[in-house]
Amino acid sequence: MCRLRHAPCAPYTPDYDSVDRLKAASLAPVAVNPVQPNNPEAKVNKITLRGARLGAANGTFARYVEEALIRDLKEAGLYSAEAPTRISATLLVNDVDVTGFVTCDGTLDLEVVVTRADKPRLRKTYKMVTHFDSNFMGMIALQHGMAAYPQLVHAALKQIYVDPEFINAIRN
Amino acid sequence: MSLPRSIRLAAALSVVALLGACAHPLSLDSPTGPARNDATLVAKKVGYVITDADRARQVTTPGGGGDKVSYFPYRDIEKSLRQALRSVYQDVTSLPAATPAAVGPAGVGFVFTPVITTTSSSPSAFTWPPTKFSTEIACTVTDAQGAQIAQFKVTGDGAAEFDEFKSDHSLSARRSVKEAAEKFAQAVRRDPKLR
Repeated sequence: MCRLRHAPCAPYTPDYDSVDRLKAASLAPVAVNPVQPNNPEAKVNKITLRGARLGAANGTFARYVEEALIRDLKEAGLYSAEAPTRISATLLVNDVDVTGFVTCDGTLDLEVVVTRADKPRLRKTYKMVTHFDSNFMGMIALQHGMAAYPQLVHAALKQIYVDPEFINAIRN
Repeated sequence: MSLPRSIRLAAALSVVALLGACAHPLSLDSPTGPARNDATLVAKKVGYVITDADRARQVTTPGGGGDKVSYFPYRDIEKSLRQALRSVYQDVTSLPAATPAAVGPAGVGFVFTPVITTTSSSPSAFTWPPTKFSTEIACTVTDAQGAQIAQFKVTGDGAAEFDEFKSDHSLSARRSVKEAAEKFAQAVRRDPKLR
């Protein structure tokens, strides 16, 4: 099979346990501002897997995270585009490294700011590192990297949803 | 300078071992699932049990060309299973276990506990993605007190040929999961005990 130069990452799947806990927690509706940086040329929006560029189906990785966040909040019945409680997020670190032959890492740091009626309620940076299988054969390592990104976002968002400080920030 | 024969042999065996251990990752996540129609939903809250141990369970089955494929069936199929239940019931929640301690506080009417079994194959000698994939979901349904209400089994079969799967190696698996989820929703809708 030919060598891939552009590798699409797999679709995002939520952590339903934590999403359901948000749903059961009687929280205020929240809106989500566009996740930054939205520039496709920003370093965090470019991930290279042994020469192939990992691509998010919806444009940038910032957009990928934003859509995952909105989707989870809708699943929890909490999303409202006009809500006074707003979540802003900035990708600070975003990488999937498949240079290892046996195991590799995904790294994602996300700064989250929650405001209500423009008053700050939370500013916190969440850091996530995930580990996954790799292979010394480039094509297989690439496939593992493509599958690993959604799990990295899944783990990072789960970390936010179970954080008591985040839950308090969006509480009524 | 040439390496001793034993070292060269060990290196060669290591490469063979690494190649033999190759399993290509697949994603079973189906992008679409059973449709939800608010007008026909059963006004009940139900739960389903997929434990963290289930989600972490990795399965390896045959692909083509002597290669294998590996994936996480429970983790990947959870979304479709949930969509299937959401197409029937007003509210759906995940549960960590089917025990009264876990079920009681959730306030659910029924608890669905699925057991997922998958198979894959390919007659190709040159390409690794499976051309055939099968997903079986055997499900036990209990009430909030743990009494069994129903039991059913559905199977989804997916097929994909090279021209289709060259841009999506998981295509036969996704098709199989989509069909299994549709059949799962139909089986729940058909059973009057699950209303």
